[in-house]
This record gives sequence, structure tokens and C-alpha cells, in this order.
Amino acid sequence: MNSICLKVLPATVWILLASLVAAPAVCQAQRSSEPVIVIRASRVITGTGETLAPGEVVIDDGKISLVGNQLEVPENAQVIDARGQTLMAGMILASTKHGLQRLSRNGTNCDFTPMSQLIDEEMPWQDFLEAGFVAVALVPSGSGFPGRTVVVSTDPDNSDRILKDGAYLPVNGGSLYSTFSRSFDAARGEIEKVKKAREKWDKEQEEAKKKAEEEAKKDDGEKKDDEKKEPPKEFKPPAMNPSLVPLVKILEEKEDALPIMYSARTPGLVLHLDEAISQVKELKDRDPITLFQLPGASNGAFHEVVDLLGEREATVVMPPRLSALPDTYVRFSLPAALSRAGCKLVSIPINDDAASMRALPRMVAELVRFGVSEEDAIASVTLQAAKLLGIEDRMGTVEAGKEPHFVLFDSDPLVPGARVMKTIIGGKVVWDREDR
Amino acid sequence: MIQITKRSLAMALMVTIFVTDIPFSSGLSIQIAGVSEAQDPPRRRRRGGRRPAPPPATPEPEKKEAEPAHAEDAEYLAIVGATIHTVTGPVIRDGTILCKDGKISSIGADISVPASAEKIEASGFHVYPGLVAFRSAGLIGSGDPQKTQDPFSLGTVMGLAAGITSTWNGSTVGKLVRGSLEDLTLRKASFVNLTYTSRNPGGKRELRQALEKVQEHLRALERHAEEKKENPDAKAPDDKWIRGAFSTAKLLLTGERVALSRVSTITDLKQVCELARRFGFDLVIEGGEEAWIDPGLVARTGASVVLTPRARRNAVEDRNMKSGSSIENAKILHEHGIPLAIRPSASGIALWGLAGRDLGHLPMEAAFAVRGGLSEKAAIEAITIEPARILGVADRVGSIEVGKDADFIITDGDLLSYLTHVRWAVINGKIQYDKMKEGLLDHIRPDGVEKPEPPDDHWPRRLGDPL
Repeated sequence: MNSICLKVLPATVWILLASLVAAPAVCQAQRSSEPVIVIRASRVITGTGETLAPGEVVIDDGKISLVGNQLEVPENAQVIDARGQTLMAGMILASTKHGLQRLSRNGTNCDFTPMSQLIDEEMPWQDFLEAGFVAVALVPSGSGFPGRTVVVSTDPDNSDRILKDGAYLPVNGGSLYSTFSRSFDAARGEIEKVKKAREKWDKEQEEAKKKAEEEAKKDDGEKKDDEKKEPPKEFKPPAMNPSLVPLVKILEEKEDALPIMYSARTPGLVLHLDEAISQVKELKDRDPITLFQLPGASNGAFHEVVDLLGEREATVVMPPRLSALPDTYVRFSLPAALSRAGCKLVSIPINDDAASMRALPRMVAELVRFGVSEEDAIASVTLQAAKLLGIEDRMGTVEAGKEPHFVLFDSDPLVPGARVMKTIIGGKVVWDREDR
Repeated sequence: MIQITKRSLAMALMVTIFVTDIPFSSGLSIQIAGVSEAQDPPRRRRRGGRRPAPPPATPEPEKKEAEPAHAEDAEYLAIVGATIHTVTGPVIRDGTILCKDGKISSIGADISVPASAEKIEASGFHVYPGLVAFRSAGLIGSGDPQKTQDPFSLGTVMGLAAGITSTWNGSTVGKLVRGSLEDLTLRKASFVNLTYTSRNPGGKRELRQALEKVQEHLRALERHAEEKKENPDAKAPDDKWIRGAFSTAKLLLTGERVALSRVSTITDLKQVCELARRFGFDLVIEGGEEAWIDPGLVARTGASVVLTPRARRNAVEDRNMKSGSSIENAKILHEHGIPLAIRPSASGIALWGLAGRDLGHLPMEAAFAVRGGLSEKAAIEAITIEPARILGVADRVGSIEVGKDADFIITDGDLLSYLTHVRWAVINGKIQYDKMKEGLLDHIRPDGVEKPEPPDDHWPRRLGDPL
């Protein structure tokens, strides 16, 4: 509620309001054992459309309780002084393999998760934190359906790091048609298997019932009590192949079905994807796939599918880099064009390494140069990524009620040369440039 | 063998159609093919002297529709005022092509164009059928283009800029459709790759023996069919051994597949032709640099030749026989009535042009054959209708005829001139390439000016000169 009010009211009213609201905050703090944490920054980019300068964020009981400026702070509060710095929501990396043990599997392995490739002690969490990422989506490698993406927290001290087990199902590789037809045929086979077992079971039950009735007619009275005692059997469906269960869920349109994320290396594959999907009869009339990763984003020929992707309001995960129109020197920003066309942008680094990840804010700034609004540019590494991964109710903006994950830059994050000064996860400074 | 008859008869038929104005129907051609099946299959595709009829001196208007009933919902494209090179028929000056739903619906001088039609004012331009590249890589994907073509790839655009609208990628004949995956497959076409060279005598013997054995089997089958008429319980000859090389041999001998042999020396050529004549299978020779030495043999074999006029082969001086490549190769083969297709030496396409020897220079390759004496008409046939016939898609592409697919190119000059560029390329009645809208060639002679004046500060310019 508070943050909604904050949007509307001018700064002068703020002080009054803050004094009113800060009081209960103090009371709460006294009740709970942990002290209230207050982060003071020169600027707070909330991600909800406003920038507070200066700004404070109050963290109470592991949640953001208040965002405002010139708030009164209780005496026992722990203050993180970040004056001269800009605070924004912790960045979220929507797709990475950085630090994972190499293991690639081809084929349909939807039950596979990259957690088996992750050795916690050997993970370069510092690389993520230095770049300002508080959550990363780990992607399994391999062609076909290599597994599901898992979102983890980058907090090095937290062993319970899985934020979401299963955010999307990546599909990649060249043989699109056979991947889709083979995998979904197999999934359909699993559904049929369960159906047949069910029919068989129903038949058996009916026969058993008849038998029981006949027996009951033959000798009634005697065994009545025993029959009543027998508990009604439950139908036990045969176990499905676990690597196909996520696809079965897609076919059956289950609530918890994971969306499919397609990596299109060339623009033509976007058309081929629709053709390949329409081969699967259950998926033929569904809404088209809207999650795309464009690893070949420097291919200028992608400008041909901008409208196609824009029409379906696709979410596009790609490095925000420049390309040239085919056979010209005409510079072309594909992400900016996609954004104009109505796509939702999610920015990822060019490569899975520390240097590329550190360079991401600078590359996102390029987006602004080519016409994307500052708000959308920042959202492409925070809120849109959170929405893609289904964790937007927990992070992605600086709002009351969300988890206190932040990144602090030494200047505006979109100014070239901006450096990450602090990364805060759960109200705790987990990475600080001054400690280095 | 049946196919040959169909082709040559269909060709004769086409000529007739143009004169008598009978609407072309596939049913008619099938019927005739059916009749020809009973006949003894001829060995030669074209008998001596039976060359395509020369176009009439004064082109007659093709169609005179008394009441042009244009459908409301059909998609029309009209090319107005161009010189139309139909390839299989006359050249029509100041003519109009009307395409309806991806097919050519009428060609001629006085054709009413429906108001809803997309119109290209093309006076001063020339219309040719879309070029057919016999063999290509990277233009329509590999394997099944329906599943592999990237309709946005630069290779496709460059192919269209070169005038190519259909090509064979080694397994399928497809079209260079852009921006969609509709109607891009023409036909699956696979040849039997025949290697029959004195450099591999063992392989030669094996192949010959396989052919002999299968031929024996086919005769046994025929005998069995005869026997069965009298004795229904006659035992069929065992065919379990027909696998691998034998099944390939069977495909050849039954005429289901055509042999494609990459041959360049006259020695190999003679051997392959002898083999084809002995076993009576259809043969396409790729290369054939020394074929000019014995064109009669190739003609008697009924083989088609896919050649590269610029390919060179040095003469062997220490042998007392003709050898080496000849600039006149194409002309000599054509004079002997051998169906001729032309391809550049590289089957790929590249932005930097591969020194003019890639598919981007397919008309240049044909022009080189003209330099060696081939007629321009035959050279254009060799990059349009002839490769279409060899690939078995001549019923749909390769010439501008009513009923065929609306696949053609509109050029700013004579196709075989080095100055000519493709201005528009049309496939399935849709404009797939517009020179002025692609960054590829739009800056080259944009107004059709042949020699633009050099800028004032052009070379020579020395240091200190005022700019």
C-alpha cells in the first residue's frame, strides 16, 4: 500500500507521511529480534516508474517494508550508508551456464536439472555478485529438450538456494521437426498408457463388483461383514517416464506446465518452429510459443521477423548487441526494434563469463541509445527477467512486500563506466567493492 | 525410358500448343505418355534434325479472351509492357504476363488486367523464366527445404539477385521462396551417383556384374509373368538378394532413377556411355569437358550433359588423340542434339562472388558458351528449361507458359550481358526480390545508366591538389 501512495505524493508530503508510517515500523522492529535495516542511497530506482533522490529503503522481517525518501530512522536500526550511490533492484540473469560442470545431453531429458552440474563450493558466485546478479537461471546444455531451467540465489552463504525449480523448458538444436514430433509422440504414448491402465482397472472393478454381487446373492448374510471391511481400492496409475512428464503436462494443459523457450539461431527457424509445433495435433490450435532466446542476435537478418515476434508479444532473451542489416553497414539494434514492435526484452550477457556479465549494464545502456526507454532497459535485467522466470512476486522491483535484493552502482547504472559497489541479498551485503 | 518419351513428346506437344492455341492440360500429356509406354522406348531424346521449332517471325498474341472473367478473391500480378522471352515459345514484345494465384494465367499483347492486380510497369525490361540452377549449396537449405530452408538467409537473396528461382540441393528441387515456407518444394529428385572409371577397375567390374545380375533377374521376372498366364502356381524368382548395390542397379534398370556420372575425360566418358547403352539406363553426365571429342557417342546414348563452359582441362600432348577442354564444347554438343544444362564451377554462392564462378554468375557462365559458338537461345535454354527437364520439374518451371508456375525474373537488359541485373524476381506470383529494396545491388546503376560519370575529384589526384 505504502509504495503505491509513494508514487503519487510529492516529496514534501513524504516527510509527513514517512513520520506517520515510520512509527509502526519502529514498533515492529522492537517486536522482532532482528533490527530494522535501512539503506540510504543518493538515488533509488524503484523499477515501478519512479526514481527517488535521495532515497531510503527500509527492510523489516526479511521484506522491504518501506521505500521513500528522508524517512525517520529508529535509533537501533542498522543503517547501510550508500550515499553517493544508486540503488536498484538486484539484477536477474535469465539464462546462464557460467560455472556449471560441463555435461550435455541430447534428446528428451525434461526431468534433468542443471543442479547436478553444480558444485556449490566451485561455483563462481563472486562473478555473479560482482556483476550485480542476485538470482540466476541455470540452463541445462544439450540439444533437443535438455532439461528444465532452475533459478537459484547467488548468495554464497545460503545453502538453500533454489528459488524456483523449473522456470522454463529450453529447446535447441537443428532437427526441430523430429525433436517436436518425437518428444510429443512419446509424451502422448505415456498418456495413452495411463488411459489404458485406467480402462483396464475400471473393467476389473466392474467385474469384481459383479462377482461380489453374485456371491452375495449366493450366500448372503454370512460374509457381509467381511466385505464391508475391505477398503475400496484406489486406482494407481502406472509410473510415467519422468523425462516426459513436463511434456505430458503441456499436452494436458496443466496449470503447472512449464513454458517452452526456443533458441532460434537464425530468423527462419522462427517460422520452422511454428510449422514444427503445428505438427503436434494437440498444440496446433494453441497460442504460439512466445519465449525466444536469440543467440545469433548479431545476425541482421533477424529484422525480418521483428513484426512476427512483436505481434505475438514475445518475450525475447538476447544479448543487447548491435548488428548490421544484411550486406550493409547500416547499424541496427535488434532488441530496440523488438521492443518497439511490442516484445518484452530480457537482456543477457554476450558470453557466459565474468567480464561479459560485468559489461551487461553498459550494453543495456546501448539499448537506451537506440530508443528503448530507460525504464524498459533496466526492466530487461530486473522485472522482465523476474516475470519470465515466474519470480516477479518476490523480486524484480524495489517495492514494499518484495524481498530485499539490491544492487548499488557508483553512478546511474546506465552511464558507461558505472560500477557495481555493493550487492545486497536478503538485506545483507554479500559483495562490497570496498572489501576487495 | 518412359520419362524420356514423355519429355520429348511433351516438348513436341508444347510447340504444337503454341501454334494451335489448345489449352495445355496435364491430363493430355499423361494420356500420350500412356500411349507411348507400349512403344519401344527410343534411345535418343532428340532425333537428328528435330530441334525446337524456331519462334514465328511475327509474334502472335497468345490469348484473346472475349470475356475476361476475373475472380474477385484471386491474387493477381501483372507484368506490363516487357519483352517476354518465353523460352519454349516466341519472344513477345511489349507483352503482358498475368499471374493468378501463383500460376501464369495468360501471356500476350492484349490482355485485360483486373483492377485488383498488383502491377509492375516493365517497359524496357525483359522477362525470362526463373533460372534453374542444376546443383546448389546454401540456397534452399539441405535435404528437405521444407524443414531446413532459412527463408531469410542472405544466400537466398543472392540467389534471387542472380536470377535463380529453383534449384536442386542434392536431394530436393525447391524454390528460393523468401519470408515464408509455403510452396517451396517442387520435387524430391535423387540420381544414382555412378562412378565408372578406369582408375578403379575393381569397382567397375563389380558395378558391371551387379547390373548383369539384376538384368538377368528382370528377364526372369518377365519370363515368370508370361509363365503365370498359363500356370498360376509358377514360382517367382528369388529377389531377397536384391539389396545394397543390387537394389540401386535395379532402380537404374527399371528406369526409376537416372544415373548421374561426374565424368571429364573422353576415356571415362566413352566407358560410361557404353555401359549406359549396353544396359539401357538413363544417364546424365556432369562435367564432360572432353565430350566435344565424341559428341556422337553421347547423342547415341541419349545422355544429357551438365557442363561448365569455363571449366578447363589441359590437353595431353604425348597422346596421339584429341584431348583437353574446348571453348566450343557446348556448341558441338548442342549441334548433336544433346540436351544441355549449364552450371558454374562452384555450386555455392558468396557475397564476394568467388571470382565470378559461383551461382551468382550463372548467366555469365551461359554467356561463355555463347562465346564458344552456342546460340543465345540454346544458352538460355541451358539455364532454364533444360535443367528443369533433367531434374523432372519442367511441368512447373523453366519456361513462361500458361499454366506453369509464375516463376520468372525481370531484368534490365539481355540476360546474357554482363551489364544486366535482375530488377525483380517473382516466385509463385509474388515478388520475392526487388533490386531497389535490397541493400545488395541497389547502388549499382540504379537508373539503368550504363556508365556513370566519375566524380569531379576522381583519380588522378595528387597531394596538395585542391579538393
